[in-house]
Amino acid sequence: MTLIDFETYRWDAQNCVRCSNCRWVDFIWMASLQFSKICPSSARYGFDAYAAHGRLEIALALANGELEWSPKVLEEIYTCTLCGACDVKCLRNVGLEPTQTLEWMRQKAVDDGQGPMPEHKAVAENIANNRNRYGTPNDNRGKWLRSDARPVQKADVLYFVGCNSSFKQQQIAQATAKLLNASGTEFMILGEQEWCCGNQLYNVGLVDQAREMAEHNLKAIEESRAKTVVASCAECYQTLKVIYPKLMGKSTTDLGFEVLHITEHLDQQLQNGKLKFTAPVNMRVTYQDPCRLGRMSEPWTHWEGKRGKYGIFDPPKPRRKGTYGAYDPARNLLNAIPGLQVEEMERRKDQAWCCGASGGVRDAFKELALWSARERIEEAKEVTGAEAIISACPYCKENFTEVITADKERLQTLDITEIMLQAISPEGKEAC
Amino acid sequence: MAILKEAYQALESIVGPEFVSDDPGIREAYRKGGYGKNRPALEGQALRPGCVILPGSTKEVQQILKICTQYKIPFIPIGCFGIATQSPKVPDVLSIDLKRMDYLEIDEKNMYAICGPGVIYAQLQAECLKKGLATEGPGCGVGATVIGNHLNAGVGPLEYRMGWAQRRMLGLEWVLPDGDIVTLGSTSLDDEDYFWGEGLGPDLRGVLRGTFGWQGGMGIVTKMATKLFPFPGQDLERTGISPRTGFNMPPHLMKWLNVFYNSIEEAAFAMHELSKAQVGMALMTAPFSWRYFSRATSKEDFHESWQEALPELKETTPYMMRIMLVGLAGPKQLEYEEKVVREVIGRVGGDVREGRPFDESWINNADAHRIMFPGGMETSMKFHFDSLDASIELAKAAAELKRKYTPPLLDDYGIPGWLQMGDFGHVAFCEILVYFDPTTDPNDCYQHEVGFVESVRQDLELKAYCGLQGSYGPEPQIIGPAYNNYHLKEKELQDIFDPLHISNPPRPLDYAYGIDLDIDLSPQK
Repeated sequence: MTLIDFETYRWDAQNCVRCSNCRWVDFIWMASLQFSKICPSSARYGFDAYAAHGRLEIALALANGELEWSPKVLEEIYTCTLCGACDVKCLRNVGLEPTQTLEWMRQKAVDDGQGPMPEHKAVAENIANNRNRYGTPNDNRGKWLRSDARPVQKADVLYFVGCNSSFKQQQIAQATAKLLNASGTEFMILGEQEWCCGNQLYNVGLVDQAREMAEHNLKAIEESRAKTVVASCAECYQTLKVIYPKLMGKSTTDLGFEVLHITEHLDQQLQNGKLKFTAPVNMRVTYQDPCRLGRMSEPWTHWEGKRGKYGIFDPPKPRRKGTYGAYDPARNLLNAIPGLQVEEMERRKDQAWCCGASGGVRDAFKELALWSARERIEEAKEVTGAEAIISACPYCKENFTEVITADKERLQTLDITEIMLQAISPEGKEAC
Repeated sequence: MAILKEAYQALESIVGPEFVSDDPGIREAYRKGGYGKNRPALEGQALRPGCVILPGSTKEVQQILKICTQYKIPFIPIGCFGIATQSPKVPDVLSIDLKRMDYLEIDEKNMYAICGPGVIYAQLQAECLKKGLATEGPGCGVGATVIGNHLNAGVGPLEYRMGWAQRRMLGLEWVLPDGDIVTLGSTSLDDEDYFWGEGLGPDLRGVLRGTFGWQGGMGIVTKMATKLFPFPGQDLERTGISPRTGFNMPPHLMKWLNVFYNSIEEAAFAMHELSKAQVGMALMTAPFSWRYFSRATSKEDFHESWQEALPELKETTPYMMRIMLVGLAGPKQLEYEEKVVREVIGRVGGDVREGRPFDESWINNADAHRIMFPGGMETSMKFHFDSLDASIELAKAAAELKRKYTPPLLDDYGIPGWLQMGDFGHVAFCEILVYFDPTTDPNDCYQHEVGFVESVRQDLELKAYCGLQGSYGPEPQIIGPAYNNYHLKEKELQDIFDPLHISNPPRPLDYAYGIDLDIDLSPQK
């Protein structure tokens, strides 16, 4: 069974007016021909089947039995990073929510025994067997901890570390822990009781397996009695805040705990004077808004009802337009670091270009993921002349790093926790 | 796929395998274009193309059209696909998506830009604003391609000063349906020179121009120069998070003056008088419904607030005339123009209020598609160029007619559309907009179609210009005889340029397909 009922969104697919706004940067914010696009798959492949407006036509044809599954059709729907840009653009004007249909297509692909892609199945198998996406024993999940990071047994704040920072880019977890300590935040971790958040499982249409992750993690969080869950990974953050309530048929406000990204938490600590940056970081940087921290992170409100004439939802359904994404906390933090020059790219905040890693794209369509990252790196260099591109999601950093290494770029990429660590102690610089 | 394997291989050899496809999913995405796609006339008639190709250069376009000629493959050029006329209506069409051809060059000194067919207005405007220049974003939105819109009509808020798009057309490069290349204006003398539109002898731009034009029925224009205009774009500040994004206008250089009236006649008289003074960047009377579209947070919010406001609006019939003033030569020009406007309004009457120095609609028309917001579909019952007086007469008659079909059309008050001066008062543009839901109840579409046909008959009775209907729907069967059988002459002209009838058939005679409705389309006696 698909989680999303296409019949609720059939009206959207039927009433897409093919204005193509879904593949362009907001026309007000568009500042050049070169950086005018916002949909990576559309920009990379060109055909309309790789943009939301074309995918809506494909969805209608699939739902009506006019189009059959094929490897190419699967490619057309799985090359989307589900970055949410099309939703933001369409909700600005026409008022449709294409992402609901994009997600439905993947769920239907799984239901019909066609999806997800083989690479996604491999990740799903890892998760099923080992509770993390890399297939490493989950007992090792807490091994990123060093003696200078000090979690406690019981605290109001739970740090949800995520697979990437637990097993691959452990320096992000270590920096996060030190920053929590430095800001006077007592925190705990779940250790091996933390399972993969399931972001990718949900995004590739494996709803049941994603729900299993949700149920386990929600129970573990409940048992920990945490009041606040902090994530340093934008994907984990969005999963906890948006996807779990969606999977469990409730609203974010009904979770029983608050979900914060590390940038939101530390910004609060900065504002109330508990976090101070004292060590200068003399560098010119630009900031990459992770899609799942920015435009995709607005709280989920459970809705049940019907759709009537003019596409009106009864009762009214709250739309997630990207307006209230977490754009400012990271900027507040970076701007508070002495010596750091922060320059904006043309495509920023709700209009940011996706790094290309999300939605299962990096696993199944590596070439597209790296192409998308390369586009962003070009923008960072050309528009801002930056020395480093800072992100707040380990998957952005991982994707950028691969391109930077392959292309022997002088530009660096850092997670925001790493640069903040440099600013709280001179040793932090060496650690990074 | 019924396109011959041999032809497909030839196409593949031109663009490479990456840019041509006969995959069913890719083809499905090119079945239905935007505007009007749900009109019964087109629904069910739109077919999946046989193949889709993305050329990257004029040379590739030329080679593709030669293949089409050789194998008699019907083809459809596509810009942004925002219009239903680019939907395939005959089998085994080759859809030629031109988005890769986003060539753009701006001659700052001589104030023109050369565009490829993949360049959209927003891209052109973004590059222009950096250079102290501007183009006019059309009312249909700046996601429209520059060339496609110039070949269409191209009406937008700044036409008061800039004129509509087809009149801004300069030198161009045009690949005829058989693959021959024609260059017009100064380009015919020098491939690099696009400055002049006029060449020697008859001006072939006349073949390309026209309200709603050929819609791909006359080959492919692969490069076109368009006039640009001075505009202090560098001083605009981009601001806001979606959906509330806009330009902060520099107060020393730009200003809105909004003037309120309780009758359209008073507003029109003021527009007349202001045009004579030749000041302002734009001059328009817009319906209040647009404010509600713009401010609504959701469809539900719009319908609730609109229904609440409507009784009073019907009672008081307010109209807002908006004037955009721009100090092109500096703050003193702005001061002067404001004085002139206030003097004129002081003389003719009207309640003048200064608007917030913010724009999301006129400079880059970012919110054009909000007109789809209330219903799902918008169509233009009238698309009328004439004198202001004639426009007012037609607008009032159209409002009456619209009421007859309301519901299913969305309820409104007064003149449900916009009136705008073009070319500093030499022409008035009137567009009457209707909003409806094309999908929930089939009868709504039927009623809309019936109203549309009746609207054409109304045009003829009032001797009003049938701009849109003349080349966009089934109505030319009615209009043709009244306009010298223009539609048959159009067909004769096409026979010369496209004897094989492969350029977006059945253009220009789309209406030959008729509509599958029991409506008598014969001229009324």
